[in-house]
Amino acid sequence: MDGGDKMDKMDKLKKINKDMFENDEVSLQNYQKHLEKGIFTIIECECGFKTTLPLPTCPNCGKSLKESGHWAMMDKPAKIVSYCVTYVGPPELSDLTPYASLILDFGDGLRISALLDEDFKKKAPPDDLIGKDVRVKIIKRLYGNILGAHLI
Amino acid sequence: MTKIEIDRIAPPLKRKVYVLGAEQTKFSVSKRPKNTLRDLASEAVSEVYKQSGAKAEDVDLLIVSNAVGFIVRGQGHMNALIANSLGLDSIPSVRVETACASGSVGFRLGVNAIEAGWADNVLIVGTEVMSGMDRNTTQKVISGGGDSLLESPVGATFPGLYATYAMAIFEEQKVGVKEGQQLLSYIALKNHKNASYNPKAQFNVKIEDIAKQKGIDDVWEFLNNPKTNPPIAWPLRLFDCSPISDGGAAVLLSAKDSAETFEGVKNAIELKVTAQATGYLPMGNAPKLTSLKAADIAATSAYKRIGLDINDPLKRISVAEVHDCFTSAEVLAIGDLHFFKRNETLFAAKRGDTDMGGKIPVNTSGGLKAKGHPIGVTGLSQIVTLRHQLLGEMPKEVQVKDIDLALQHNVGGTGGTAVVNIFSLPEVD
Repeated sequence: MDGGDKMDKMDKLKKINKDMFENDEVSLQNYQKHLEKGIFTIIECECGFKTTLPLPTCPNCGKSLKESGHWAMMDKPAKIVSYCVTYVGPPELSDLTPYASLILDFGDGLRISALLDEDFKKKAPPDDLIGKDVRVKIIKRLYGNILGAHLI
Repeated sequence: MTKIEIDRIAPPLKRKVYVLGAEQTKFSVSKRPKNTLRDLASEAVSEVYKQSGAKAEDVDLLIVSNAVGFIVRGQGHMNALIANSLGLDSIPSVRVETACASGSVGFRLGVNAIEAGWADNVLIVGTEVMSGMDRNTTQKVISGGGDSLLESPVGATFPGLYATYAMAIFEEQKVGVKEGQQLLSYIALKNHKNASYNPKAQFNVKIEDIAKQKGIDDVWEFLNNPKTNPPIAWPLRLFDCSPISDGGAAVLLSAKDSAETFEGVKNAIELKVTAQATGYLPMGNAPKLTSLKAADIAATSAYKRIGLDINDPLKRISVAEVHDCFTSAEVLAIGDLHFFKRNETLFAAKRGDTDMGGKIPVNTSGGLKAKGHPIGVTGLSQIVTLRHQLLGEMPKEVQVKDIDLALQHNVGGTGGTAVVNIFSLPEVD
């Protein structure tokens, strides 16, 4: 891919983002707003650094992410890096307990914690989830949407 | 690592620093707090004054380490509160919070003040009251050491995060979950056994004896029964987890020339190196889940600073107190400290390598697992144990003989902060 193609792709991505997220500024409020809309977004900096954290500045190049960052929808699959099944959880998740907590890797150093969308009330914890592919799924909760994932 | 990195993480000590006194209260927990933050601090400090011969008027700086007092007791401004209760109300004071590493970071700031020449004698006091919380508050308080935006909302509790480390370790060392759980249980058995000799431990009882009290003679039957050892965050079970604790500890640091003016100098120990590094928060951002970067680079920097062989630090290190908030944390620690090869760390406790008489006795106090884990106090309590070890004051069953160097390893949260300190008896000039 030459430089021109790369720019075209970036421009198209920016246009899509602009349409989808109305040019939202990089902020925690907007990250949460996207989650409430059922969309998991990440931030890409002009320097190529990607992060799930709506930080004020890019930890890689130091530029303001409000100026050099843009939102991108993350809908590609991720791999389970590790996990556990929590039997003593917070009251906010009591209806889901026991639940599996995952650490997911999307590549490019991008990792998140998420909840596996599966019921473990009547089955033993699975011992073979590491390395399996999942897709992010937004789980609706009374106190706000959270990041979940389902096996693919 | 570059020289600049080592200088930042484990700076050279230009003034010799002695631990002139170090003591802790008994760790415990109850439905209603039996002691106040002040009581615990005062009890520990009065023992340190007795050991050292120092008095309140000798202290140049007070550092208070406390992690959860603001949330649990509604008590902020802890430096002034504790300074007043100790009769230290005119000198500078500060409170330090770096989650479970608060005590060690407080200690390190004390070293910093001595090195800078701003103080000759620094009192570091850890005090923590965690009793009386309901389970939900407890979880919130402990989760405060993690990422409240990215981890807590998706149910990542602290046992859960260390269980996630455990699963990654099992995968790396190619053991199944059942075998992995059994290997972790050997750590719990060892640390409870050590704590059974420690009168200040919260659980000074062997797991074998707890099982017998429940009418079960076979400890493995007890540990493998989900009714007596229920899953908390699978694969971690109840006996893999450190308890909620109240406790206090105090350490009096002195520059060598100042220490020599006190009677207690004959029972002082010397700090050889102090190293601190920062890791990942949230923990999921770490590229590896089988090692804590901060602990590894703190250990590596400390070893390089004092000329230890990073491939064989056990040539010189004779005893260690490491951060075992969960059994999986001890596995991480002995790998990050380069005590064992990574593919051997899970097996060390079963082989007896970390037991008394093994290659390196680890957590002779019982560790956080059985001694208890009052969060802001833990780092100082580890130093208390190592001082007793170096001075030959431990109960005979857990006294390590002919100690050269004694190592302390303390972690904040899931590895966001790590401190490694190494001590010896003072060198004779």
